[in-house]
Amino acid sequence: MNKNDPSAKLIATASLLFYPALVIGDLLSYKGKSYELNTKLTASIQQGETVAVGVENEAETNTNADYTARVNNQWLLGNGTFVGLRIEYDSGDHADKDLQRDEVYAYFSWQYGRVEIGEQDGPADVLAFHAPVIGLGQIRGEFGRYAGSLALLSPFDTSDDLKAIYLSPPLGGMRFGVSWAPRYQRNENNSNPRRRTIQNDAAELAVQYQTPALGWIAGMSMSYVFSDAAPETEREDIKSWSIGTQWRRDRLIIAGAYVSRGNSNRRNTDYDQYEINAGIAWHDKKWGVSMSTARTRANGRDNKLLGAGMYYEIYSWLTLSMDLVHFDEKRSSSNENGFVGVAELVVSI
Amino acid sequence: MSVWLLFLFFVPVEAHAEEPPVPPPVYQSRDVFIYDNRRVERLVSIEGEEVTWATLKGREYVRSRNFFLPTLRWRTKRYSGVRRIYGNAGELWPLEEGKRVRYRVVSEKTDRKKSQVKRKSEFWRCDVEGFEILTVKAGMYGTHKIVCDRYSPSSMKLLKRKVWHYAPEIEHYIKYQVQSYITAKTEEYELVATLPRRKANPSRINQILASIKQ
Repeated sequence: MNKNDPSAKLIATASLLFYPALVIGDLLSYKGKSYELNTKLTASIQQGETVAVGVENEAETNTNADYTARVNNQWLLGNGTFVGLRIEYDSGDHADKDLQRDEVYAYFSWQYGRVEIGEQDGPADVLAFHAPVIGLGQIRGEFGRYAGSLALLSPFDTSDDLKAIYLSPPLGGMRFGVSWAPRYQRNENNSNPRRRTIQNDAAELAVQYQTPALGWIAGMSMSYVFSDAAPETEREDIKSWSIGTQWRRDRLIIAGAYVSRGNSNRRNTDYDQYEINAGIAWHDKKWGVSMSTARTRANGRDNKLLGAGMYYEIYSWLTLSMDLVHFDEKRSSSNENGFVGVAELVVSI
Repeated sequence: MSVWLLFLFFVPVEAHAEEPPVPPPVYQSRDVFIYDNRRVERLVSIEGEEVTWATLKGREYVRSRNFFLPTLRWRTKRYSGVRRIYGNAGELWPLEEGKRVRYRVVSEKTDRKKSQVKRKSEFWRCDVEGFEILTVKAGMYGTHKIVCDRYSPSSMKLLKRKVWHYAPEIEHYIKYQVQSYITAKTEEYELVATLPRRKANPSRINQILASIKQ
């Protein structure tokens, strides 16, 4: 086996990571009558191959390794309600926020809804229907680590920042969610205030409706996010929304969305970004395949993405995921297009 | 003016006079209920709010008189299960259109071979949707439609919808439907026959089952 062969590197690293994780994972999981401690440790090695055509043609290969830990402490109280504390840690720098694992939140769940307080995705993300993505995330996935720009999929939101969330129980086929984040910030210590992102009082509102129709489960969703930008950053407030639809039957999902980001969190007032995304996915017990596409336009930008992906659970502790994404990004000053192929082997305990 | 006419056009016309509230079943007249999926429910005994039923093969299980609640106690060769109900499920009775309850179910399933107990919680909401005259193989009945939704404690996502058509005349449901909100798959069955205890002998039950087309 050639030591420089990327697949040899993948297998060697996965083997090295597997045994320590197995021991730690066994020690940290417990399932009692009322208390459950679920610990999931994952180690992944990722290989990205980029063939990009731009100002300068480039073909590049990159390898990334990530480690994540997820610990969920959950108590099922005698009266059937739940309280829990979930902690996630991510060593890497995943491209997609859905793949990022840096969340810490406490929750309480009873028949009148679920309350979550902590660092967690809000309802605009959780309740919004959009192009289905699996495994490595396709058009909003790991390809963004290597080249191109990600699709929006759902409204521009406050990501995993500290917030209080309420998710309602279904009322007929309808449910809603609201959240409030006191502050959404990135790069907040930069000496240049214009390079900071500080959005205050960020609220997310989302509603979702599902009903049986023509032998399918049909769904509609609407999400809206708004906040006040700190004046010193000279950025625009967040005002972003989406409408989405999803159709499910057996293990098949067809879904799509229209997303408006507008000028949210931008310094220019004529950015006006919007997106149409759509996709199809099949989730089986041990494997899944997905295909998705998005066209994201803004003033001076036009980004077309087409992605296909799969995952296959080789063993309960070993999963292989692969994505192939074509990107075609036009900016006023440059054009870039090409393919990114990403393969990842994940060892999980 | 035209807007009001349009509104009137879409207002549902009441097909029936207001139905009186319906009390919970006491199973006075019928003891055996046979459905077109070959399901047989045989009444064994009633103690307070709990009703003991048996399958055709004689396996006993306990349900609430609130028949829309999940089975309260059951037992097989290897497993046994107990469910406790929390919330105001009983307030759906007497049945009246528009009534709604939400409740939690805590299930404990014991694997006697492994001496292992698994516990889980389910969240439910049930609505009395209205009165419908329904014709099934067993005949035509006035029924109250009860719709129950099961949803996830971890995401509040709707998982499953169960619909019962309850006929006060025979004090049991005559039609049952369940639909998964994950896969869209549905299952339904309806009443073929009911028998009073004195006629509920095995040969009569088997005769009815034999007449059900596969």
